[in-house]
Amino acid sequence: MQEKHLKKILLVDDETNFCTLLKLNLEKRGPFEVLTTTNPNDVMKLAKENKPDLILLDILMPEMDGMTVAAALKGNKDTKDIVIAFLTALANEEDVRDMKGIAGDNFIFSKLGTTEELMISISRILI
Amino acid sequence: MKDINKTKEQLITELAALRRQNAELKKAGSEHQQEKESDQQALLEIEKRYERLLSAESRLIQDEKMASLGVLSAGVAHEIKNPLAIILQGIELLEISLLKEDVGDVLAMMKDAVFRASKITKDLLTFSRESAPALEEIDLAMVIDETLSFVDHIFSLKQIRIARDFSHGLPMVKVDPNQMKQVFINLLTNAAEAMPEGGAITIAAESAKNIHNRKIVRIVITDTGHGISDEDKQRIFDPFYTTRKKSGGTGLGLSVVKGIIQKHKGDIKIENKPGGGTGVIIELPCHVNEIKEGVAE
Repeated sequence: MQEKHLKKILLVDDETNFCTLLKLNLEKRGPFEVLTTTNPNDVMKLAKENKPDLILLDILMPEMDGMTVAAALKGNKDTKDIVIAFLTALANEEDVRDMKGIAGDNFIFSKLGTTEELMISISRILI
Repeated sequence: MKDINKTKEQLITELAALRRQNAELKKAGSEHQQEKESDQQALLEIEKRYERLLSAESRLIQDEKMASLGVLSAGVAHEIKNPLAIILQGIELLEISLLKEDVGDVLAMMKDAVFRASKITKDLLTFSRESAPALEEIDLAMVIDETLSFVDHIFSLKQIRIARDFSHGLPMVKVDPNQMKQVFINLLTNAAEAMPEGGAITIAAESAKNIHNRKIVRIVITDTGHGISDEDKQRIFDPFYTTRKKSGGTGLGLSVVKGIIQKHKGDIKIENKPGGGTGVIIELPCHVNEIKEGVAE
């Protein structure tokens, strides 16, 4: 029964260790089920199969950047309604502001905030 | 850059020719008095142009360095922040797994170090960012007053008095108010750091003329702290040079300040005050033309 209340998140980041640790942190601290992938090419398939409530997308990845992945998701009828938030390691607020134009309606979170802060941001958009 | 070098060579040749001509005229005697005066005038003019060209050249070299640093630091910031994010996640996971008090302290220290390293990359990016000032014609006194209202409360808690001394009828200046606030906050914070036991900061602004006889606004911020050593004075504007390593200084604050002032075609220097304490002197040009034209002048 409890599993029904879990918010499903798909985390996409080319850093395996980051995926593993953020997944554990989110799952241990909040009502989340986190799926992860380091391969942006798998995102569409995983999104269609699992219908996550939120996709957390790294922006700079070697194989395909997060913006391209987001555009593909928004362009597909099965995935266009999934909420997307970019995770960025870029350094400061100004960068995030500059990127608002590129990110469109999507959200942007810093990778270097605490898990608590990230959870607050996620809760705000999912509740 | 090629054009600048060419103009520089031309000016050097003209300068040498005029100097020769001037010397010959001196020899020729008083009947040439009038020509001599006009040549001397031309000589002065060329010398002035040559000086301006040298300063434009040094600005160009600096701009090129900054552009390379910008590209480099954006890359470095990203590459460093990713592993930092992993370390942070690791620490946070350990925080909920290990509850022993002594380990908790260690984790807090590690987390602190992560945020410190992250701040350095942030400061480095701010320092190298190629942002041209968004100029507005503005009363500088107003910008300073707004800045003072941010820091006033914190400073009063630290037993620091702030006195403002603005001369009447300061001319308007064309500045980026946000960048200027960043400058004043940095300088005021530095002044406060120099007075851990409390003291006084005076911020004065007056209309004046600089060495090139141009109208400027001069702002002087003085504190009653411990002053500045000769070594620090030489290097205080160098990136990563800090006298506050223990209190978390990254050594980029004053580099950022200098960069902003230079982008406004102004000058900044630092000196010891005779009765103790440090004075920071900023000179900003009053007319936008002097900011925009720069090299072309």
